[in-house]
Amino acid sequence: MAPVKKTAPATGAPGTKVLITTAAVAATLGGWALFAGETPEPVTETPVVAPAATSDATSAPELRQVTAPQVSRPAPVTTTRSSR
Amino acid sequence: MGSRIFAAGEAAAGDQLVHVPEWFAGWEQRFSRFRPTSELSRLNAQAGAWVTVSVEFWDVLLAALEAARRSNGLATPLVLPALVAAGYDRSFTATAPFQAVAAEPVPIIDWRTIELDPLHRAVRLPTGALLDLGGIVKGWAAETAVVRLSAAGPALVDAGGDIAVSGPCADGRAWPIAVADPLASGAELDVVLLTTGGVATSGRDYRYWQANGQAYHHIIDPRSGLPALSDVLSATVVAPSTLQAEAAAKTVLILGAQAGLNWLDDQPAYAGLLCLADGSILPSRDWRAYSWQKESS
Repeated sequence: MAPVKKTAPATGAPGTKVLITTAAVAATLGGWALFAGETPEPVTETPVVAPAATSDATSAPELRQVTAPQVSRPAPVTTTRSSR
Repeated sequence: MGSRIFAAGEAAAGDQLVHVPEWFAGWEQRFSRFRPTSELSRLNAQAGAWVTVSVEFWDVLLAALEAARRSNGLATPLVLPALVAAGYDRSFTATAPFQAVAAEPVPIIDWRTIELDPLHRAVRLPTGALLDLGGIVKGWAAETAVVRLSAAGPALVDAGGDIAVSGPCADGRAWPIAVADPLASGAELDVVLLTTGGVATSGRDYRYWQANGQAYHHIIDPRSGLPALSDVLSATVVAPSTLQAEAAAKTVLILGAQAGLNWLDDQPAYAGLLCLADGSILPSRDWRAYSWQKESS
């Protein structure tokens, strides 16, 4: 598989969350975490005006343009990395 | 373990979440090679003799041996002598610099010579062998903690970068987990979406040191008895369990990029993302199925 050079990472939209973090031998912390994920943009439709009808049997069919939903990079809950 | 621990769960898990630190403290006591009184250290001190071990120790040891089998011996639990010889003879949090002590590579004892007596839950290490369960324990600990937390709802546990999820989030969505860029602090290579299993990263970008004018790191290649010579700087693997992901990430790093990717593609339900020393990023065949980017295309 062809290598991919790195690019600057996109920034995800912030979720609402409260995190619990503990050190391996640290004192107890309390709380819980909730994750609010990203909601994709709804699909939108932009109708294209069809050309006037003709008797030409080879005229192009009517088309509609559809805009694909934009999915944002989700805000991560945590990160995997080599041993820390 | 000398690692940062993070746990997340639903509100109902609050009563259990407060116990996470003591769980990890207990596992540190049992499995740390840096504690003379740990169960691991006491077993190592009795190499050559039958030793009855605890249920937890037995479970982790079996997981380590399975990892060795699946990796054809690359992820072996018997590299400790080579690790110490390379200078990693104290916790990475210690302030004294590491000193490599052996001029020649240390031969690695075959993991298949570890004897087990399941009836008595006893282990006999071959004479001269020293067991190290460091990496495997993190994956096992993340899984064990997440199972305990999941009694109250969906949960995620991150043990030093080895991450386990109990299932999807309460709303059915996947847990988004960033993959750190080893070449750019704070940057991310990707975001994976997990609803099951685990993810782990093995790398030579953090636990490394200089000694005798040479660069060393903590991933020993058992074929050479020395830190692995690899074009892979970090390997992130998604697998059906965090234990499997941990062992697989180490295996891929040792194998190098091409052989590592080929090995990954042969493992059912494994996927990986490699960052090479030259900055190249290589996903395995099935990586995209876990990446958030599959939802944007």
